[in-house]
Amino acid sequence: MQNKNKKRKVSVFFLSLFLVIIFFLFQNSNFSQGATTTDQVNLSVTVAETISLDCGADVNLGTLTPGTPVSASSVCTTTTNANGGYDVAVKRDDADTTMDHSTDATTNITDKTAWNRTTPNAAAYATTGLAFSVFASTATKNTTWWGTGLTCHDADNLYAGFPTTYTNVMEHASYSSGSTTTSICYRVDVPATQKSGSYTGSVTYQVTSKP
Amino acid sequence: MKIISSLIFCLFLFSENVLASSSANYRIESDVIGIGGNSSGSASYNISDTLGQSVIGLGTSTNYKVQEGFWHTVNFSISLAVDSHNLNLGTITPGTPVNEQTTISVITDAWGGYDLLVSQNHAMTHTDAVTTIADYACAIANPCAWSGNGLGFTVNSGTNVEVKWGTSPNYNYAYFPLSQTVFHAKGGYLSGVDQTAVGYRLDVPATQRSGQYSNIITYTAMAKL
Repeated sequence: MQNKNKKRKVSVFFLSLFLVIIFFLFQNSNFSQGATTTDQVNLSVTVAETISLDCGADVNLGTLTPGTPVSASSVCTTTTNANGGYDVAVKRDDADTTMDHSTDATTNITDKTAWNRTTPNAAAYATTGLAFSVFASTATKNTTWWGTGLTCHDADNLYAGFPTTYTNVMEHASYSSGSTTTSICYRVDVPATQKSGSYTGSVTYQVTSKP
Repeated sequence: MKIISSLIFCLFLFSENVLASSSANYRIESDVIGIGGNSSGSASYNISDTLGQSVIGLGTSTNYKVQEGFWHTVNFSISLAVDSHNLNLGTITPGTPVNEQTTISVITDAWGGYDLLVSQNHAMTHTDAVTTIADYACAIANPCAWSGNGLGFTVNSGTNVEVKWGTSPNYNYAYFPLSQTVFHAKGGYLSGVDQTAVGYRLDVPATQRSGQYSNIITYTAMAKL
């Protein structure tokens, strides 16, 4: 009788083991996968260039005593995503000279020789006239053009007069992920015979993105 | 004997692969009653085998058909085609999203329908081979309403489109994963072409480097038994 019970227990054990194995075999089966097929799409897009420029507020050069030059500066901030960078150009807005007497437009402050990008002609400031220099840039400063000065009053700055047509004063040849600045220094002196009074004028900056 | 009967009962009660039928959508997975077997495979081959199956044959009625026996019915055909292999999203001005669409056509005789999977080879990349356009923020598992930048996609239309993709004009978007991921499941047999329209949406920040970007989107249709 004991022997029979023992055999029965062994049979139940092995049968249970068998059923558990079968159970897990089916649990691990994955019958939901069948045939597959694929196709592809080549996706492309062109991101357009955007560019903006902000040269800040008007600049007042203050009161000028003939023989003692005065200086002041503008900081032009450019924001662009252009792959090839950008150029900054400038021109004066008045045909004869940049600055005219405010009550007598025939009386002018003489401009220095206009900037020529092709044959760079900026020089150390001397004598009289209105001139400008690009003394700093977080993009690209061309020291061959504008000298090695670091500030607006730096004696190492090179100066030229404002051209009558847009002419590049800064050329940046690579992408910048953030805004970059170009700093321009204005410098002016007049002869002792210069008519007293207020003189005004304007120049226009232009930025051009490059692909 | 009571113990054995209970074990057998439990086996059939909890083993969903043995009798994985359901009535809600009339979906009946492939079932088998045997003493062994499994699915296995390698990179090139797959095999589904059964050991000791005793009931085989063919049974039909007006609306139903059952094919019983050693996996003799698993040779499905399935085809997938996209309406265009080259999709240009055009020129995008940062801050103004662009939209495009791919229509995927699937034909299969699989009675269980099919899954659609998608992946991208990499994020959209500039011709400089370095700069990329970011992927959209949300995943396929939980697509979200469009906000911000990146490349995303949605399911514009199709058969039994999942609620998570939203509806026009309030679609929800997800990024393209790097590995094949199911984004749409079509259950049940369909006799003709089944089309699914995938909508792309892209926007970039103002600082995104200008120029051309590209990548490859791969769609896969997988038949279901």
